[in-house]
Amino acid sequence: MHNEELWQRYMGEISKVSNLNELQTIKVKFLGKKGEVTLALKNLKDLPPELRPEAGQKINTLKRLIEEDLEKREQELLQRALDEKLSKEAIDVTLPGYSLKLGKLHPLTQVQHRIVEIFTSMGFSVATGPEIEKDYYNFEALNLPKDHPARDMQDSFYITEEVLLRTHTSPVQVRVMEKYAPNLPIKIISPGKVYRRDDDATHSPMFAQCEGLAVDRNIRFSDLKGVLLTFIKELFGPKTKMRLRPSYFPFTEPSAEVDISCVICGGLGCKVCKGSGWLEILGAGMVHPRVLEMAGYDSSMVTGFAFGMGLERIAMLLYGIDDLRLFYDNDIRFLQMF
Amino acid sequence: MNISYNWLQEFCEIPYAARELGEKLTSVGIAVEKVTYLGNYEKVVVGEVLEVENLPGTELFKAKVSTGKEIFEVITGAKNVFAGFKYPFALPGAKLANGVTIEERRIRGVVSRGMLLSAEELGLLERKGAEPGLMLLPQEAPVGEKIEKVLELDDYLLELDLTPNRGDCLSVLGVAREVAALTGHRLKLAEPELPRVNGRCPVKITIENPELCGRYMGIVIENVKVGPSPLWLEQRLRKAGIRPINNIVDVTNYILLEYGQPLHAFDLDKLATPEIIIRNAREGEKIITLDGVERELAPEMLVIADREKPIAVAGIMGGQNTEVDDNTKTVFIEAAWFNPVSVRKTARKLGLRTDASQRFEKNVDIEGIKRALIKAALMICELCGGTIRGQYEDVYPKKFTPKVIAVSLSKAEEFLGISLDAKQVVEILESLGFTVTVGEKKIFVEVPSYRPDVSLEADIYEEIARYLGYNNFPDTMPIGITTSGFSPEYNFEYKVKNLLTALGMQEIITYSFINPDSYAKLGLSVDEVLAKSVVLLNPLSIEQSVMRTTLLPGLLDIAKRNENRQQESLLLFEMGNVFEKSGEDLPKETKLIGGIALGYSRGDWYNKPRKYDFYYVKGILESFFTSLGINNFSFAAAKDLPFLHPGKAARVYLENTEIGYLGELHPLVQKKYEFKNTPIVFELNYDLLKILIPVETKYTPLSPYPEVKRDIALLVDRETPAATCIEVIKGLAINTLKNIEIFDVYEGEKLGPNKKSIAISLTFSSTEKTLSEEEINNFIAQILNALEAKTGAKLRNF
Ligand SMILES: [Zn+2]
Repeated sequence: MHNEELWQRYMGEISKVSNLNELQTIKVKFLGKKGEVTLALKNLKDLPPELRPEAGQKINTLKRLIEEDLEKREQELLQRALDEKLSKEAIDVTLPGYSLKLGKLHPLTQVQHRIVEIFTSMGFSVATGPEIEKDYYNFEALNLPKDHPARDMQDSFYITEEVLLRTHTSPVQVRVMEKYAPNLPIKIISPGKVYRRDDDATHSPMFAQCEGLAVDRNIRFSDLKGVLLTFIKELFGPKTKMRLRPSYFPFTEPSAEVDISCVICGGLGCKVCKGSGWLEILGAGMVHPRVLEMAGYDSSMVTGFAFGMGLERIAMLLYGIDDLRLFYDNDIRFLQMF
Repeated sequence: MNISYNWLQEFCEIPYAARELGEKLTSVGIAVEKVTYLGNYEKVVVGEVLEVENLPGTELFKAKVSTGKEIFEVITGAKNVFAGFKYPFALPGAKLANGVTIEERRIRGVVSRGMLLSAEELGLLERKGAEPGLMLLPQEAPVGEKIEKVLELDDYLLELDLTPNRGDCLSVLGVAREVAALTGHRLKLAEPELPRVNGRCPVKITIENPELCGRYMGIVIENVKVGPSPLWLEQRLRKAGIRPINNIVDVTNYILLEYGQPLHAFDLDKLATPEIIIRNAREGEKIITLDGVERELAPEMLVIADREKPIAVAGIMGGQNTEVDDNTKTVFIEAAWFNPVSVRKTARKLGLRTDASQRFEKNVDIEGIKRALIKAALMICELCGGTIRGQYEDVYPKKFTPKVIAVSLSKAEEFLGISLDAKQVVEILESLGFTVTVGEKKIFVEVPSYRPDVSLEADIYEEIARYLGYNNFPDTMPIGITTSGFSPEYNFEYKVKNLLTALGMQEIITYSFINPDSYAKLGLSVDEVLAKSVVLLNPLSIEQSVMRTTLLPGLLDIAKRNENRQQESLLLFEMGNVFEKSGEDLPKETKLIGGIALGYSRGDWYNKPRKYDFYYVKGILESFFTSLGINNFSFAAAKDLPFLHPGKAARVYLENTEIGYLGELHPLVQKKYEFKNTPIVFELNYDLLKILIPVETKYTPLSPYPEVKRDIALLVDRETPAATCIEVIKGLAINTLKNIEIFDVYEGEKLGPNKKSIAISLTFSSTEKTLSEEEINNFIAQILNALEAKTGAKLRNF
């Protein structure tokens, strides 16, 4: 009965404990060197020897019960204390993180990259060339002899009579063909800056182009269509339709203007497509036999296609930009939108 | 070129409405930009003036106008309002083509119901030299008839955007040929015949330069009466945008529009003798052209001359000295073929482009000249009351011989990627005016004189393709060897740009041409820079006249522009070419990376914004290099860059190659640009950088033994660069010294004047053993001795 009373007393006191210190005090009081349970164990020796085993067993059971209970309570208190501490440390997770400033690529670079990615995946590799070109590469080798009326289509910036700022990236194509002829195949794209003597709301004296060229023994007009259609669907989405209109470029024959179904209205007609449902985005054609010959290919054996597009125009359509001048104004608020 | 739909119908039956025709023409490459209905008038009719009286006390007239059904009283200020004549009349509530509506108005107390109209008020070109006033309608115009019927404005205008190869379509006939091919209907082209006339042409024609004038025809018509043309003729010209002048000139313009053949009428009595000489201009010769401008001629220009003087610039414009005027009695009509390149050059040089020159430049149909001349002669006889004197004269030194192109259909199929039906191909070509002979393996296509743009097999492929319809072709992929498309150069450039953005820099793109003044602003000698610069011959403005030799002006301009727009945190870079004279055919182009930091790093609610300074940008460059695998970069003070702060500027080296600079903008340059904050700028030579990048990185084993770190603080002269201390330590080549890092720099009074302290952390480690305390101490002693010997550095005692 003595043990039972001890247990009751322990329970009475321990139930009032609210922190680890108090728990420690109770622990000492019952289990310490001079604690009640310890004393009871010590007092066993005063009992007659025949009673000692049973009494000893009981008191040891009590000791174990108290130890287990204390252990359990201690864990609970530790947990509670930790919970309290952590809850005090809580922060406002909705505050913004420390600013790590990132820059962005110019939207024209981004659009150029998208185009490059699509064509490199179709086996076209990137070729580049000088921005200041010889008249020969910019015009003559592209079947545009001096005094050709089509030279009026591209008013140029001249350095000397024979040197000018390239008006398109086509001279890169000529240089590549010259370098590789008569080897085959050639499949390149040439993105880069070009210059024309024009400055108004819809023309910038410097702008960006990406042109492409495929030359091989078996290039067909239908291949031009297939490659462009693949490109257009990759860039503008799988539902985009393509339309070709016969046109004229001195360096291709046949030549075509390439339209896509309007990315704004889907072809129903809107302000951007001037109600037609179509947007002009590309010029293309089969490489003119004279261009192939001048570059060193036998045009009776070798054919090719070429195409070219203005990057500003494509960026404007992709992003819904309505003013060409924004690209070269370089307002960082504009640049960081993309 | 604007073409009337009704006029086209005279040449070919058209089963399509105007807009549909526009789409069809566009689909075969004759681009129709716009189709406009011309008769957008409401309640505008033919009005007959019955009575006219002066409105007392004014210069106005009160007129009674009949529309056949009703009589209206209107007030008009026009002086040419007469009873018994017919004019365009706007009924009350009428709507004009420009959208203006006419209402009843009260003028000087009198109600004016409706309005008598001038040509201008109808939106039409006035006849040249006409007195201002109402538009007089012919007597036979039915009273009350809608004005669009009488003026032939119940019509559509097709606005063509022609490609330069299709000069043949600069005429109604040319477009009609395409329409005929489109519709499959016959082209109705009559060959006019001259009545039987006796005698030779009274004018003698001599071509001195047959290269520039391949054919010259002329005819004389006498007893003409110069005056206004009939309304229908004037209206045809007006619809095409040509101002009526007089019946003679109007007929020549009519033929130009209809056949694409420019004609010119001379007043024969104004020629010195009845002789026409087509020759090159003489040195110093001048002519006053019809527009009243005196033109200086050059020997390469072709002129039409009489015995004494030039009377026209061939193919471009006539001279005032032989102009047809109201008193002209005898005209000589010219129809010719002039060399396109020559006309183009002359027109360019004179700065004079005319309807005629535009057509000659694009090659007129040398075989169509006679048709044009005879039709013009007949019209002049009919409309101006003249009679033809003698036969026409025809000097034709460059007789046309048609080209014949052999076309292999199987090759065409290979080229186009579509199978062809021989019969259909022949039909297409014949409908376009080609003459086709079918051979065994090839067809032989004879090209008509009006299609000089067709000369190769590929040109015939195009003719076939555009009529088969480009959109009816299959979409295929090229067959043949697979190519990889891998583009390492491009990829590396893209990686470099991306790396810079990851380091916080925003990419910009600026014009490659700059203002030469920019160099003065940078404190550079403009003359010196320009001496090696590439300069544009024909810039749009001085601001865009010189190809840049540095990216700096562009960076500064854009930074300034953004600072003006309250953007205070700017970290910008540009990657682009600069240009320099090279002594070779083409200038040297070098790709640079330029950057600018201006203002403050963007702070947040915890971190204060930090002002961009030299070390901020240097840190970016160091991370940039390290990310690219470059470890052998170094920076050395540069006092001699005029646009940089002499004490805050450095040259950047990879190995021992200088690849750029970094520094704070010179305060004087900063002032010129009116920057609020101080820009830090850099430029790196990308072309050098990319070749100096180590090709591959080698693995070095990690040491299993502990690393030992020792910190030393050195007391050195203020001027001693930290890099020198590092170099001295590196120079000892202690192979267990794995890392040297500066972790603190301090200047203060207690160090003494002109002294600073540099704290360096040294990390030692061996791959073979644990380094002993003694060994480390030896290394440290070695380092300190070397430092003291080479830089006078002393170990600082705390
Ligand atoms: Zn649209």
